[in-house]
Amino acid sequence: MSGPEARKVKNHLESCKTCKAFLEDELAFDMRLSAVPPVEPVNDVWALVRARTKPRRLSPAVWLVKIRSASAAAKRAAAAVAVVGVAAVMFYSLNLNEPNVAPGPATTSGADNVIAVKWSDDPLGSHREALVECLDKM
Amino acid sequence: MGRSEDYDFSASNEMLLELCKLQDQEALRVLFRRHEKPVYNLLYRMLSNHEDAEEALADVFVKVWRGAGSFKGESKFTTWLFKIAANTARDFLRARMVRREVSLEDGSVSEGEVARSAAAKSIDPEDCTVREDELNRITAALDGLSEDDRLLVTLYHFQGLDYQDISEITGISANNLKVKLFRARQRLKKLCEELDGGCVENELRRSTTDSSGLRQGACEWS
Repeated sequence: MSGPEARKVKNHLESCKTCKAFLEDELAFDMRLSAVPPVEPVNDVWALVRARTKPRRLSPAVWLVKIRSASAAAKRAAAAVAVVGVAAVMFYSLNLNEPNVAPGPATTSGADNVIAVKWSDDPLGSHREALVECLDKM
Repeated sequence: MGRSEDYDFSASNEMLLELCKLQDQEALRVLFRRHEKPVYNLLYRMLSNHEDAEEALADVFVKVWRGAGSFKGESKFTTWLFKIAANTARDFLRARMVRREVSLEDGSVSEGEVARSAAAKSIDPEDCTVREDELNRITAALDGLSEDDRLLVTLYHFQGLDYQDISEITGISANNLKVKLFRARQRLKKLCEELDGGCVENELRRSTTDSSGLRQGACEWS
């Protein structure tokens, strides 16, 4: 209510016992309702919601929005992880350029060659010679 | 990234809803945690039952997830959310009514359900024992209101929303809303007074018949 209107009501309430009693009654009822405490869920309903809202596939656009909405601490952590990751990739790529153990199939016996056979992609491994021998006899 | 803790707590509801559109479940989780209590409060006041209110709460946030794209930003997020909650509560009340009718038709309704149904339809002032405290009495009085009256009273008095927000949620014009809310409030007040009177009368009757006098003062509200 505006100033003059509120003043008019106030003046009326001072002289009218009926309206004053009605207002007091209403205010008391307001107090009674505002004293009702809020209720909270008994169980954690999130599990139910999660089960019913399976994401189809996380869109790449999500990551852009996520970065925008992330906290400063999370952004710093993500940046640190990214820097460490890039450094690790660079380190390993430099190491790969250096000459290492010569690749190639292991054809002879010996401890080093056994390890080489184990690490090669040959599924037959040391059984290759025996198998070839069997096939020759057939 | 990816966990709800990673979001800045001040991330706006609208931004989280944008993420929901992009199928980010963690954004929904943050929205859920932020709004579950007020939404649950509304649902419980409408449904008067924890089990139904929890089921309805889950439904509301599933609807938020599925309907995130329909939020145009013309109203506040909370207004939109409460509108979904109010509609969900109405759906539950209708479903409950259908179930009750079907149960009564095939005779499978239990005595307890009949009693609850009767209590919801008409307040029994004699039944002081089940409404011993103030909260139960208010809940019982709310049960006696119509669906629309209950929604208006709940939004205004228990959720603390203003006329503008309630008008948007219910689709009732602001001027009409004031009249409807006043009438709903008067009906609630009358029901409360009936319950108060019933409790006092009932208590007086008990105190005269109960020689031990141990039950005196159980219903102190007058």
